[in-house]
Amino acid sequence: MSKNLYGTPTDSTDAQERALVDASCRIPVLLFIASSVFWLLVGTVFGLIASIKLHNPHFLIELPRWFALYLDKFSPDGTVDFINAMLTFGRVRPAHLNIVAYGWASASALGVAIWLMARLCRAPLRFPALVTAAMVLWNIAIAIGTIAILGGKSTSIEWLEFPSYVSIMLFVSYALISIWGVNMFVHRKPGHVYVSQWYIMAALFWFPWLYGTANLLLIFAPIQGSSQAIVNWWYGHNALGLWFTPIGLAAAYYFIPKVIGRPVHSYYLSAFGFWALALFYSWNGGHHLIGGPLPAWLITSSIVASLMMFVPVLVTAINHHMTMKGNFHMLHYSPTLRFVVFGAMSYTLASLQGSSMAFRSWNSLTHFTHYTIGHSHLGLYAFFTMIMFGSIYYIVPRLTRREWPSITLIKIHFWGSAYGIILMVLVLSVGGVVQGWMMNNPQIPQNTFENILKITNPYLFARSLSGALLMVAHIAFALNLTLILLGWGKKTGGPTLFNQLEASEEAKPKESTL
Amino acid sequence: MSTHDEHNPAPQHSEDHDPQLLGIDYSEQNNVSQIHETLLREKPEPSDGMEPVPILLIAIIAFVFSIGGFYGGRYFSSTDPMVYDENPGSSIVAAAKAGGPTTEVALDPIADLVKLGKRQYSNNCASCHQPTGLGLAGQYPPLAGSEWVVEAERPLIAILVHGLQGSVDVKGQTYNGAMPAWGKSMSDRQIAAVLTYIRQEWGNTAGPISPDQIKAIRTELEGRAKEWSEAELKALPKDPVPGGLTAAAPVAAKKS
Amino acid sequence: MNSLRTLFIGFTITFTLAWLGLVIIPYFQLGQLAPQVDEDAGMSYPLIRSGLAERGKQVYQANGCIYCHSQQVRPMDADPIKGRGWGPRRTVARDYIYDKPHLLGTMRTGPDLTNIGKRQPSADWHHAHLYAPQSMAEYSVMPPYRYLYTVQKIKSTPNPKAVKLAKGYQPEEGYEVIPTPDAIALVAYLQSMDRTYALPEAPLPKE
Repeated sequence: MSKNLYGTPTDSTDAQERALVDASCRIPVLLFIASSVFWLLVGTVFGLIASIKLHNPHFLIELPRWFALYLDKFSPDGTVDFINAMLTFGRVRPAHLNIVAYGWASASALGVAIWLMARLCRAPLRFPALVTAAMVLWNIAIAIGTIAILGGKSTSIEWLEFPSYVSIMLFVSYALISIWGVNMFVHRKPGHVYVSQWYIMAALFWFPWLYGTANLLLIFAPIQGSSQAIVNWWYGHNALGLWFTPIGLAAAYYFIPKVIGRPVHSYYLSAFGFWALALFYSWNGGHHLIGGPLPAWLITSSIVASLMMFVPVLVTAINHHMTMKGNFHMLHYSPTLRFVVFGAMSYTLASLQGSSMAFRSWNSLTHFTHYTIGHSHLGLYAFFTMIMFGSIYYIVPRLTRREWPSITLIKIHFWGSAYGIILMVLVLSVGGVVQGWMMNNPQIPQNTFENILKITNPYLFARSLSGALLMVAHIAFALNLTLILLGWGKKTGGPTLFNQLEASEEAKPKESTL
Repeated sequence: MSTHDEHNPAPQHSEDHDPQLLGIDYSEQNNVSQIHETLLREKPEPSDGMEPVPILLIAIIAFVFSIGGFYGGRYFSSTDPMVYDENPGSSIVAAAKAGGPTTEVALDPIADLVKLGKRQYSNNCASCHQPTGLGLAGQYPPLAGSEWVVEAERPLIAILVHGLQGSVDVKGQTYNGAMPAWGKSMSDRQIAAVLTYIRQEWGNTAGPISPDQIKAIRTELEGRAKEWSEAELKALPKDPVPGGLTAAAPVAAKKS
Repeated sequence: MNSLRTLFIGFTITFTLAWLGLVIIPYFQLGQLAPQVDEDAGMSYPLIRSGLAERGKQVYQANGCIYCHSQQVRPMDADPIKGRGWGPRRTVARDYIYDKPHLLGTMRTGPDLTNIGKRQPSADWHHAHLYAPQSMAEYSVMPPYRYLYTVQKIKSTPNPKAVKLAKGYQPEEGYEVIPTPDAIALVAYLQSMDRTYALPEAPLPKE
């Protein structure tokens, strides 16, 4: 068996099998990725605007006067007011959340999941036209939903602000893909089922159940208000824990061993981690409502489940770390690995932070503060989004058969994102703790509401700076993606890496135990 | 998992795997092996290692389970949906008996009233009359140095209990607003507290007002539903309101 | 775990357990609560909102007020020393039976609004605050909701509904600020927010 420069066996039957798989996925996956990056840009803009409004409340509250007067002349009464209303924080902020959660994160999750499943099932994608149609419907739904929220038709239910007609469209689009997903798994090449496949199947199975139940009980046939809160946060937390997390972990479990060419450390840890996550994560929802109008048993159950999350998180962290051990030098070279390992480490951090936030004592301080926002960005950005970035950096060259045009843009992307999210989480965590402590101790005369706002102001300003950094990073990414999709990437000459790969470095044979 | 049966230099082209049918366009490239370069350099698909679970990890997991179990046992008070307190032994009846947090022992009844009144003021009054007590020009009258605050007690208490409507002169300026009635939403103690507070704050040096005085006014003016007008307030009797604090003994310690 | 069947059974069991615990059981425990009736006083709690206030709740929802304001009082928030006067007691499930959807909120950039109707009953204050929050609290980061108001020329006499604004925030000479029906409804909703009645499961503390 001969080996190439990279030390991999050049068995072209295997490679050709992968080529066929990749070719079948090409259109739907590339479209999902491209549209998700588009929504990432839009969502980042909305996020930045919302962030600025929190320390500068007069930012972008109405159309410029000269334009408003001009518009007033020929438009129906109230048009200017309608447009001004679209700019208010209370609408921009949910627009940001829904665009990044459904337009960026869910769409990139689907694109990456499709490709991973196809690769791991070692069978070409069946019915790609169906998946493409689902993607188009998904994007139309996001666009309509965003306009609806800005137009004042938000449902005002966190994580489910899209109006009912949009939810139906998303659900249908989703159903098309999940049915395909199960079908793909049923038609897989026989053999060992890999851990990533469990995670993806689980996510595809759980999400419609979550989405359908929540929409039914909160929007289509709303139950009494007294019981809505727990359904709301059962959904909101599980969208993260049973949808985004499994897909993120599936990607990490695939790309880390794949890029370094080593097997995952322990099958037993993978299995245990998976079932522990499935068992405990789903009970966490009530920890969003500690101190709230819910019976004690429900809150305590959710807190205990949140504490138990230490177990799958620790197990997964050890599994990933032991897999990487001895191979950390690869982070010098591979963009995919850098983003994915950053993401996997952030997963551990975010989950440990989350478990700590579930203790009633700490929660009483951080609930309702910016600390929670810092935590949610640590999870959804530092963990999930960074893993998606890494996945996209790996997948796109294989589907376009070109390499990334610019390593500089990748560097800007990585460092912008890394520093951006670290800064954001830091300032929101510190600012949140200060805010919470002052809020809970009004008996100290200096802790007036006025002072709370004055003191948290610089933290919120720093958050806007971090948002600007992320904006730059995302623009660099989108630019690189546009270039490679337009065919500007080089076709030969090896992968686009951070540093030059020395032949001697990589070809040190680290025999895998295949 | 990759199949490493035989090294096969040439790709097999059976009907099912005809690249043309599947859309791989070889016309872009002459060299077939170039197509696959990206794929050829890939490491094999990931596989599972079979390392055993470390004993230490099992111990840590058992420890976490025990922490979770302990926390759950400690704070699982009841499956009753009407029980909101996580501390066991706290039933609805017990909660009603406990009645909430204790009030502080009133060693200095006036300081106690001022403290409560300050909180009351910032929660209910500061939004209009401002934390500075200066009010808003043209909108809300000032309380600092206001004759309505520091002089007669009866009209002041009446304003708090029933509200004030129409124009009123304060420190030479006319204000034409509406002061809401707080009699229904604030207790005697709360009204007395906030009045005591404003009467000694911002340079004001008038005496305290006791909860008993509020009670007396409520009885005296029972049946009044409308807000007061300036004229009506000026027409109120000028004798002192009974139940004042200065003469009375310190308020007994209240414990709930 | 190579078989689809094994995986599916596992997914279903783990998910169903939490679904039962967090959705189904709470629905049966909390989803069909009755109001508290006080026959002597002829009142039922929670208080039923007027049609105008219900419309105002929709305006609250459309403009995303929940993203800065919560509507739930925790036990510590009701403490007379450590609380900010946001309520005399914690809120419980029965306080929200008429709220569809619930508006509990998760951020306190601004104060909690559970009992704002009790704390700030003045419609004038609310209109001035909505139109120009900084006129009522200089440090406020609440955005001005000017699109809920119309600035129009004063006709022969000033409109009694005109918003009374502080100096520096008033419109130019000869103009007045009139609240739109949405603004009037929103203020009615804010004024209706009062959960200071006692419930058996949430008694009021003794004075």
